[in-house]
Amino acid sequence: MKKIVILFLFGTLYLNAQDKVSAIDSKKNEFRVDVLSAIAYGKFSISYERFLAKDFSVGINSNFSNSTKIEDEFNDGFRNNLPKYEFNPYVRYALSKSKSRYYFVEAFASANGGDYKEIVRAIDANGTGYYTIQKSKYTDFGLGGSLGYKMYIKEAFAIEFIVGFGSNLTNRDKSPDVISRVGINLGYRF
Amino acid sequence: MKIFKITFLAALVLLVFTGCDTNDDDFYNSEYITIPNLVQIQTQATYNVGDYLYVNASINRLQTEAGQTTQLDIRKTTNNAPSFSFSYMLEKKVNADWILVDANLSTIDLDNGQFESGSFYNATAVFDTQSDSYEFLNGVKLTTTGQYRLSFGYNSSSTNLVEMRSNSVNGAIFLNLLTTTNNLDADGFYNFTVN
Repeated sequence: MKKIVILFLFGTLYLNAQDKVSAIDSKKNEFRVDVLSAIAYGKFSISYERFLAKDFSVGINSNFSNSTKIEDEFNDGFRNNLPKYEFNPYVRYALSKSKSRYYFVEAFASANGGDYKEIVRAIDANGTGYYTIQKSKYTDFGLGGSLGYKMYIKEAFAIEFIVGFGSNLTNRDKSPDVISRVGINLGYRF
Repeated sequence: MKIFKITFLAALVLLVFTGCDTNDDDFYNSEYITIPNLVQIQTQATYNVGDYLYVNASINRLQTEAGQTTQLDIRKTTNNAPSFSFSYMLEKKVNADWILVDANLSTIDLDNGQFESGSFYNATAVFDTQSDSYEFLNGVKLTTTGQYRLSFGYNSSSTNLVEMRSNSVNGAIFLNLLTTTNNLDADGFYNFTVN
């Protein structure tokens, strides 16, 4: 009798697990907001992910920065660029078998831009030279990779931790050398 | 557990790469230019107890800059910086050691600018609207006989250059004037004896 009860309990758990997998599997879209970037960096970061077959997914992450601290550092001369936006399309591969909590790897590209400043020598109306800070815009393109962990609550609410980095490639004199993707995301899958 | 280790290693690599970033962690509001002979040591043939050794800096706002066809307005460059500062030391040989000569209100003759003494002398050439120049002139009294030496290398990466830095405010450019002075030997000292 005891064996029958145990088998029944395990069987129920197994079926429930299968149901959950199926439920998550049937939801192919997810939106997320990065709470870490918002709190720590004053950066508004949203992501969309589309789940494909065979543990792959694709998506895009967009960041818009409005950090007073970074802007102050830029104005006070402690940095020469002020990143303002990033668009990061990515491809992910789930490393774990579970669909409700798993590790993943990611390859991403980045189109990013912002403000840049440099000191230039100018000549005023009297024909006298002077040095001045000249601000301009920069854009750059980069590639990178990330690792992360994702878990679902009630088959729909996602919590995601991600750590990654990339490198800008085409305009490094003006843009930041390194693109980082560090975040704690909260999302909804549907 | 293995994947956790990989994640941790990736985070570590990220930190290393961020630390190696070459253009995000410097100071970018500085400009360095070289203009010779902006500081003078007012030397004498002989020195006696009670004499003063004067250091003078009179820097017109318009300076000739090497490689440029137009004069440089250092005041406009610094968005009207009120002053430029530089450091120097007057030391006396006591036994085998060189000791900074005490320079206080009773032993200095400050004619222009500002002067502070600590572990070195901090000299400030203040902008004078009459002369349209940054001005500093201060003498330190030589109170005892002995061997003395004067140098400008305390806060400098070079022994033979005087580094003057604008006291800029509100995000303006910090202009660093690398200049030369007279009578320094190869080691960056002006040596003299007080009788």
